[in-house]
Amino acid sequence: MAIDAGPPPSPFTGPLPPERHGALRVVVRTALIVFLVLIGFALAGVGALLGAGYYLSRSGAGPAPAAVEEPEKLRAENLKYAKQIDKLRPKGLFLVVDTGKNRLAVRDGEREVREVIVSCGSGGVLEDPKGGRSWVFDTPRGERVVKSKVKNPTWIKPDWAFIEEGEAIPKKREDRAEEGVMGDYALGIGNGFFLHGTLYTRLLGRNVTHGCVRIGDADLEYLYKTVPLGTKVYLF
Amino acid sequence: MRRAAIPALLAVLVLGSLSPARSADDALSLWRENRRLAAESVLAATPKPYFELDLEHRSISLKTRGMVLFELPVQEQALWGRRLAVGPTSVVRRDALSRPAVAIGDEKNPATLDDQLLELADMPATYRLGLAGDVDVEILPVPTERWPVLFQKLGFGSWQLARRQLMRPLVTLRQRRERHETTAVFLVLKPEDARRLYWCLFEGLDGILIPPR
Repeated sequence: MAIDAGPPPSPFTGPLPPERHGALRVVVRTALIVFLVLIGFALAGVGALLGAGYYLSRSGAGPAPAAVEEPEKLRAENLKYAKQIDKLRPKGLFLVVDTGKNRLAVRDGEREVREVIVSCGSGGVLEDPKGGRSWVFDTPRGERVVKSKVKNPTWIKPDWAFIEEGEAIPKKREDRAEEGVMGDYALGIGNGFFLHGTLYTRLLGRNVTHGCVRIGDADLEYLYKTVPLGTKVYLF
Repeated sequence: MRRAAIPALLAVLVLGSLSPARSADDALSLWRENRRLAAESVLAATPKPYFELDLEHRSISLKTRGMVLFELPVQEQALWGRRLAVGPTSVVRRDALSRPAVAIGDEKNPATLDDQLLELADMPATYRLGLAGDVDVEILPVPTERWPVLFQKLGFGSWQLARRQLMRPLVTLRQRRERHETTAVFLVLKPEDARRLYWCLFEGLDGILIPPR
């Protein structure tokens, strides 16, 4: 007569077979050793922190000058470098644009003549779904020069302006022209970037533009009248 | 006469013993200034802005053409690992746990104006800058939460910095074993300063590194 032995014992119930006891012991021992090693490392760290030794040295002054045998020569060289740098330092009237704080400073040498609230690039990205082109709307950083000054400027809309609005890009230049959106004046700083006016004065002080620097009406008029062509503009 | 001569002799002896140390110090200062000026004269000749990480005077500044655009004070700092020298460097990497990005939105959830703009307030205050020459700079903000502030008020400094200081020797040990030692610089800044720095120190920007003496 066949005896139904029933299903095999579940591996998850009942006492562990002897070989499993052994495996568990190895795992526990290994974990303990790893734990002790980590404690050791931590203690070594604390020791180093307390200055117990410079084996785990902190970084310091760097290599000492191997031979500063001719201090006079060094002094003369330092003076030469300092003069070189001083020559490069901006003098006269120049503009400094802080793109993060949205501020433009008119400076005359060391002296700040006027601070203006502006709007700089939004950092937005636009992709052309058809042409595969893309634009990042950042205000450029670095040194530029006021290359042109225009009264009652007309905006010649670039391709991205049409793509952004979901419109077809016109073929004729005159179809790109839009009056009255750049304010009364514009100062060109190269590569299609301008310091110009805005219809959205309530957004001054925020990063909302496509890369140009927008300025309020009164400040723009002041800049147009004060800043000559060739004035340096430092953007950061 | 004799009474007056003894203090004078002592003074001469003390000054004499100090002067070699002083002249060595002067020589070191001259050398460091020479390296800094040499690096700056190259950078100032270009139209790009550049930074100056001055760990001797605990400040970071952005400059262009030798002119300081802004200067940020370092609240706390710590250096570990390989020693550094005064000289040129550049930002090769800028890593943040969450990189600021513009939200475009869709038809159902159109992005608000704030979502579409990247502004100073959107910049991270905790991030890493990898500088040329195997220098890792970790920027940490001054704590604003209750317990870390208490920790700092008790005179222990920044909790985040202390935690990193405790772990860093292990990294040094590992690097020594692998024979590739780097330098770690931990800088604690005011959160708004940390964000401003992130805005300005982009990958590829050149600068000057001035380690402490």
